[in-house]
Amino acid sequence: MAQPDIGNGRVRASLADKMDLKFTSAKGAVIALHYELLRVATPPVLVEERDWNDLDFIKTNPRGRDLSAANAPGRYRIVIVPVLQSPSTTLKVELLKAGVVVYRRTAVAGTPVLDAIQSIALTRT
Amino acid sequence: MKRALVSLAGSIGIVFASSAFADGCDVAAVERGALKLLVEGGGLQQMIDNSAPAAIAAQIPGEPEQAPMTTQATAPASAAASTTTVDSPERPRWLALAIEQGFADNNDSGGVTISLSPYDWLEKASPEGTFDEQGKYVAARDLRRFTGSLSLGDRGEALDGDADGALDEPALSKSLSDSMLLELQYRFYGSRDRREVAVHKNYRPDTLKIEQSAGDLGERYGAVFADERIANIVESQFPDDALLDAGQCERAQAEVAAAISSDPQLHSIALGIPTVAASIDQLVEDLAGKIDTSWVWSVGVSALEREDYLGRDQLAASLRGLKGLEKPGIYAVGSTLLFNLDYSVTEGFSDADRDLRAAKLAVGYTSAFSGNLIKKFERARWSMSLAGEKTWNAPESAKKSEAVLGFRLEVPVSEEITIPFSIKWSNRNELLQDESEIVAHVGLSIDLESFFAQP
Repeated sequence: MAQPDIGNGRVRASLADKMDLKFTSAKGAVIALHYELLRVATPPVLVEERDWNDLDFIKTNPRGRDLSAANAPGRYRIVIVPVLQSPSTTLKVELLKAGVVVYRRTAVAGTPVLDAIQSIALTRT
Repeated sequence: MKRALVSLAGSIGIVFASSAFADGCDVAAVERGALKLLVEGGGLQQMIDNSAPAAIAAQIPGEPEQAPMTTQATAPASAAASTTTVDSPERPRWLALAIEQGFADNNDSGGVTISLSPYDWLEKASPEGTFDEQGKYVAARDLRRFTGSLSLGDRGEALDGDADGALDEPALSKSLSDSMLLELQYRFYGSRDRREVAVHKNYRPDTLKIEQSAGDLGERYGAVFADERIANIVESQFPDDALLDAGQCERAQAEVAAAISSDPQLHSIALGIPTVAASIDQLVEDLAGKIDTSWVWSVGVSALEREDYLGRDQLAASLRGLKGLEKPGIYAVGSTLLFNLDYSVTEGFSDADRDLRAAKLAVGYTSAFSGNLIKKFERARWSMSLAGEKTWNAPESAKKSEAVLGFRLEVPVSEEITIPFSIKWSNRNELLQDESEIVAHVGLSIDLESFFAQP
């Protein structure tokens, strides 16, 4: 059973807080998982991006990503695009602040990819 | 989950969820809602122009897609009185599940069938959820290639025991150990298990294309919503950690949409987001279709040993193939072609008789009962099969070849229970174990897997 959602997608954290992303797949294949971290600006600045697929999750599950690239004061946007193999695959997306989950959503296969996009507004102060 | 539907010409629809995961309205829901308003506000036509109609149509909501259930496509292969003529290269898993729950299954031949599927036994013996993890599931791939069953106490073959020229009713087994049928099967090529093959090298070009499109989607999304002006508006809607209520959400979406519209460049990028998303959904569906219709091949051996009163012992080898011709629909019923090649050696009636050898070639076609033609029967399946058999060392009075033409209809009467009807014609009536050249069967098939499925 999926764990309950946490947060509304707006996360504030001090620079002293260690921020981590955690992806946990179950019951099937993650066809593609795109992650990018952007600094909010006009135009936005891409800080880092990564792509994972099922081969990565077979090696390591859950997969973690420390957000040290966002260790400067400012506003960031985290965009996550999960593409899951039907019928049963799930992907739990969690953002941890100092080891505590402050944002959680679980994507379920069969959801149109537009509805599965995760968007987190992160403010570091 | 609250959904809004935008339709064009009554036949093309795009669905946006206010929130795919949360019950309330979060940052992503505000952003998706803004995209919806942009599309409603005149961008839809441009989006349609830039997108394949199939990709747009793929967004229309429906039943969740399911992997094809080949396990329910055929009856147990070992059943001598089975209503099917052609067997699938994949065994029904409900046999294994029945055993895993601590009891065996009564087969169509009056005996008991025990699954010898090693993966099913391992899964049952492992802590619950062990194979939810993809790494462990993939690691056990080779175990899933092996399936098998042991049938005990099956009824015998029809013999002319009293030498009156007519075949008697097949004798019932007095003891389970009086008849033992061991069947082993190895799937040496292909799989329709999406968990197993999504990253298979054959599908790597497809998954690579999906990965690239997901990257493109992410970049477009970030370009719009990490723009400082847009981000300011979105973030200002969330002064604390609470989700927005419906009214707040609608106002926020409208405000964000207006802000995007005021910037032609952002507006253009935003309108492309649903198009890219729809193309990804189409690619995913195409990949599933390729997997679901791929070839599957297996080889098998069987050994039947029984007491004399039940009939003769038999050794057999088989080659079985399965090819999907049409992607399964919402009820996982696609058109499937089945291929069987069997060779068997049956011991002679006496030491003086030579062993009877036989080769059998069979093809079958299974399909849905014409979709929505009759709504009530949309989950029904029909199949046709043609089998030809050539025998050597047969008794003088017997024909040296046989042809069997079969028709089968499966009608689900509930989620768990299916009633199969079948009719067969043969030019060699003794192999139908009946007096007539045409024989009909009506059976009852219960999907035990659904009984044991976790809620």
